[in-house]
Amino acid sequence: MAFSILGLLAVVLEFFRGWLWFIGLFLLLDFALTFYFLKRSAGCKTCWVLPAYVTVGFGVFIFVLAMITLPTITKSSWAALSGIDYLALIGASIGFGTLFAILAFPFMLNLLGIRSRPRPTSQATRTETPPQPQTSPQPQPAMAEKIAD
Amino acid sequence: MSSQDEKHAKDAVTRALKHSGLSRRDFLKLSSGGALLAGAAAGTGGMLYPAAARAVPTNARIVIVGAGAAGLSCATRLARELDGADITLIDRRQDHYYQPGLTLVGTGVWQTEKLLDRNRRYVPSNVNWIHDMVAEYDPDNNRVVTETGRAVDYDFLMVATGLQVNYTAIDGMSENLIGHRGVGCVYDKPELAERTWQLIDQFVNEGGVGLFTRPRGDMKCAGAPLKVTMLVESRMKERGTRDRAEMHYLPPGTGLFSQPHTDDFLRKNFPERSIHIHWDHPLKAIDPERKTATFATPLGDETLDYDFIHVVPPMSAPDSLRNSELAAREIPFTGWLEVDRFTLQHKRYPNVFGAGDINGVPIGKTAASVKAQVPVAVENMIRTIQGNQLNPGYDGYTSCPLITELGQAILVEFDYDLKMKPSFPFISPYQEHWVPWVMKDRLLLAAYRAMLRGRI
Ligand SMILES: Cc1cc2nc3c(=O)[nH]c(=O)nc-3n(C[C@H](O)[C@H](O)[C@H](O)COP(=O)(O)OP(=O)(O)OC[C@H]3O[C@@H](n4cnc5c(N)ncnc54)[C@H](O)[C@@H]3O)c2cc1C
Repeated sequence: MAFSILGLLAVVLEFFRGWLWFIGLFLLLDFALTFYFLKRSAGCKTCWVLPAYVTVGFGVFIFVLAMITLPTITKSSWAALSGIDYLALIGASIGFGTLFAILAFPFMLNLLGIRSRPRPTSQATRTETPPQPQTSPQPQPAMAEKIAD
Repeated sequence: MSSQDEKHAKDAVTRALKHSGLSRRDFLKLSSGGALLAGAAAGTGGMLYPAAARAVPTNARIVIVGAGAAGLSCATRLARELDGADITLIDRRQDHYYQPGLTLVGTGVWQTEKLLDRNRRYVPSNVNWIHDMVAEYDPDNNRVVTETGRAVDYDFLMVATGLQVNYTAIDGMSENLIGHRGVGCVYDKPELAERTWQLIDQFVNEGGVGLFTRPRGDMKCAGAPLKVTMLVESRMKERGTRDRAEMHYLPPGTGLFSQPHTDDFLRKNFPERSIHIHWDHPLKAIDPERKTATFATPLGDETLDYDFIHVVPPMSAPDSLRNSELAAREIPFTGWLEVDRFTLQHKRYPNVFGAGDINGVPIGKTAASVKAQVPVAVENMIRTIQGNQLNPGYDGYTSCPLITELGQAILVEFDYDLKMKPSFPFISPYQEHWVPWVMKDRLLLAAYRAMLRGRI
């Protein structure tokens, strides 16, 4: 029985149906974190390499974890695997590793992606300007009118 | 729209924008983003419902009898593929349960809750649902009559009633016995499968004599009695109690499975696991008080003691259909819906079609067959409405993820010619693998639900 790509998509959708709200929430959080990072990093020195390395490391960790635990999680065992099963296990573990890495990247960016903060320009101006001598305040126009009354 | 109206509209938009503090440029940006999102959403929807755009206009009155796997799947497809049809679904049952999971509940792999669902979730809003059962079919007058006496007229009829399990065909057997006195059966409701697991759990721990039966004639999922047997044996190995039990498999004839390669595999596999096969042993009677079962063998009746027995009662078309004009009158499909095996159109009533277990066709009755039959039955009903030639598209596809051990299965898929038809050519239909087990345990429920929604 042939399964079309759309058919497979429909099955995947049904598989995750109960979790869709959670996945949606997580994706939203990821988008928000990405935008937050872009906003925070304006004018800063950023570093993409370190977060990328750590993310890949995290993905590899998940990959290994999946390789080890998937047979048991699926109520089976390594002893039950043969031939194509190993390929499927590797494929599924790569999938999990990649997915978790993608989801984790925005977190890593925010944690490790900003090297230096920009110099807050307004503060610099304030410290450089010598303090003005205190003079008696000039009345504001509205106030002046009030006094005239 | 006149230029005056246009100016009014523009002014109104500008006023609204001013009010909300947005510039015209911001607004344009936002709306183009929204349009993109909406377009993407509509695009995805369109991809998942490709047929909706091609809906066939008609005012035909269509009645679907049965809201099980086949009935719901037909309803969702017909509702989508027809425009203006008056579609009525008849079934009293509101709960829906995933029958292929009963074997897993009965052997303690799944919890009962995993099977439970509601029909309401799948019935499309433009389908009328009559909560009643059809008691009479009157195909000469294009009418069905329900148990409460309501007559429903139709132009086209889809029969999808599944089958009935006949406990009374075994002397001394009744539904109430399941879960008591060592009698188990996974062929009915989820709660009975759960009670069966309680008995199996006890048998796996304590051991004794286990009898595993299979009835004569057509039945749904002929693989399930085999799966129950092998899973019980696997559980015993898992708990280290295998030597405490004697296991016997008693088929009614001289075969274990209709597909020859799978049959060969099982003929070797059962003896290797010390599961004794007793050919030609259909169950005739059961005495729960004495815990004995009687089998009608060619050499006369044979009575065996048991500590646990898995009873699989004979099955037939529901009485209302079996006694109607729509039933086949000749062997081998006597009592089942008399359809053409390729088009699934009734042989004598061209406005009647069938889908699922009810069909009198020479192939196993499975949800996998439903998946392959429904698109053909629906397409041919629509072609009949349009006056087009029918598509002889059903090749007898059926499938059985034959669980051989906890954590292993063989994905057996075949057609009318009993030729293997693997959906995924890289998964061997001749060998035990982990992948088909994962499919059975994790993925097929999702596929089943996608089928109910008419998406696969
Ligand atoms: C233990 C077990 C294990 C199985 N394992 C597998 C498996 O591994 N793989 C697989 O593919 N398949 C399996 N199946 C088979 C599969 O579940 C069935 O083939 C499938 O459900 C058939 O669908 P259906 O719509 O024809 O019948 P059903 O799903 O049984 O639905 C029939 C519906 O018709 C209704 N009905 C009956 N009579 C009337 C009437 N007179 N008026 C109105 N409504 C009526 C009923 O209330 C019911 O809702 C298994 C089944 C069982 C019991």
